[in-house]
Amino acid sequence: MSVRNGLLALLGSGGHHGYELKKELEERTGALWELNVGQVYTTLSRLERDGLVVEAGTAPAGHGSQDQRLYALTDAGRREVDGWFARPRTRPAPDRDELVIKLTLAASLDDVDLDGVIDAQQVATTEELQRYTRLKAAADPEDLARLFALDAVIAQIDGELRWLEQCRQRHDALRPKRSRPRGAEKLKGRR
Amino acid sequence: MTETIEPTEDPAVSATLPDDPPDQALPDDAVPTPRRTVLRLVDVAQSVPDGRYRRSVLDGVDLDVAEGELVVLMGPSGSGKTTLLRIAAGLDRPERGMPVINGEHLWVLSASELAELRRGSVGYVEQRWNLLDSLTVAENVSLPLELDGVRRREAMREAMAALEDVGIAELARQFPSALSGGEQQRAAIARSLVGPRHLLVADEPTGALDALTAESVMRLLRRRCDAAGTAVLLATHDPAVAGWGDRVVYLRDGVLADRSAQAAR
Repeated sequence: MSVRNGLLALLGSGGHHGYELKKELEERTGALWELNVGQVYTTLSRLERDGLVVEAGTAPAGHGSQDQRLYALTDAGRREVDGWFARPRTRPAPDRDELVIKLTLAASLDDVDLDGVIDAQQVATTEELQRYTRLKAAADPEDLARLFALDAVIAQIDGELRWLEQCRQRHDALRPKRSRPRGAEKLKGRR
Repeated sequence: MTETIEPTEDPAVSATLPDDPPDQALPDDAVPTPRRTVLRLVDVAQSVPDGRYRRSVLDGVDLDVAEGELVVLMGPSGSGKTTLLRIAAGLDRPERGMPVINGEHLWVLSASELAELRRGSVGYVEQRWNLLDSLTVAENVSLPLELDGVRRREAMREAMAALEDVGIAELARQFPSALSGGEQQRAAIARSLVGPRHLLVADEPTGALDALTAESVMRLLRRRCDAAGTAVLLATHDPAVAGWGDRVVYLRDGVLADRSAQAAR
């Protein structure tokens, strides 16, 4: 879905050929992932079949290889793009997330060290966060696409870390307290 | 399209390198120089009064922060983060263990020596920024320098540069009461940054700030570590803030967790 809409949105700015679209889509979305060029061509032919794009001439490919087909939006394609930008995205149903499955199982099985599982994940996820934060620190402050994309990844990782800490604390709260004499709450209230 | 991250300098590898004389034709950064330890906490323990008893808050904490290193301390509320930070900044004395700043064992110093070390080398940002209401923002920021004997003119110039760094130079002549919470926080950070600080200890310095302002404060602290070699120990609940650290350590039940997240540099 995202590739389909992304290609349509790019074609709104004029004719492009397949490889150009691949590069543009990668770069304009923050250059954090790579797009399979085969997927671009399959998607383009599907869009053509659906009447959303048309072939609009060819561009010389160089090195004696076949000329590249240029694609452009049809009116229906243009309406599709406008509609896509105007419509808020609806959140897809929760995916089967390996980490959620792992933690929920660790919580319900007796012979698994739940805290150990959470702690190890917390360290690994924090290291991912440090890595993306370094990319953000190095990013051109005017490259909005790159910063948006990095912020999005960082927000996801941040969410995962908050969730992990919440799980850890929920588990801690269920553990019988070490002798905590009365008065602890009173003291807290006074601060 | 994915960026590659430089691999971590493996201390095991660099330790086995032969001792090359310095005039070898190696680039300067080929053999990492071990960084000086600015803050060292050894077996630190502390308890607080709790009714008729005392409750253990820290129970044998060891922690080193090197020159130019930004270490983030995380842990649930009440886990002892503030207690640890106050000891690290030389504000409180632990019941057991030894805090060492710049090679000075804090608790063999006299009160005046300790005060001098703190004033000259340690910046501390509190959870509640304690700005003096009767002074302007610029005067608040320049105060530590003036106490240190820096001439007023020079102190003001440094204060203005620090305020510029945290993005509130235009508020220099205002009084703290006219500032928003986030602005007061930034003024407090500016105050902790003036002068030649070797160690900055910060207790939730971005707690009152929105995400972008927090980010700009963290960029500032990061630059300070990288460019001036300041060692930073910072406590936060905010994972996005922790991402700026070289190392993230977790405090639970009075001890630091065995494993810490270590950024590839």
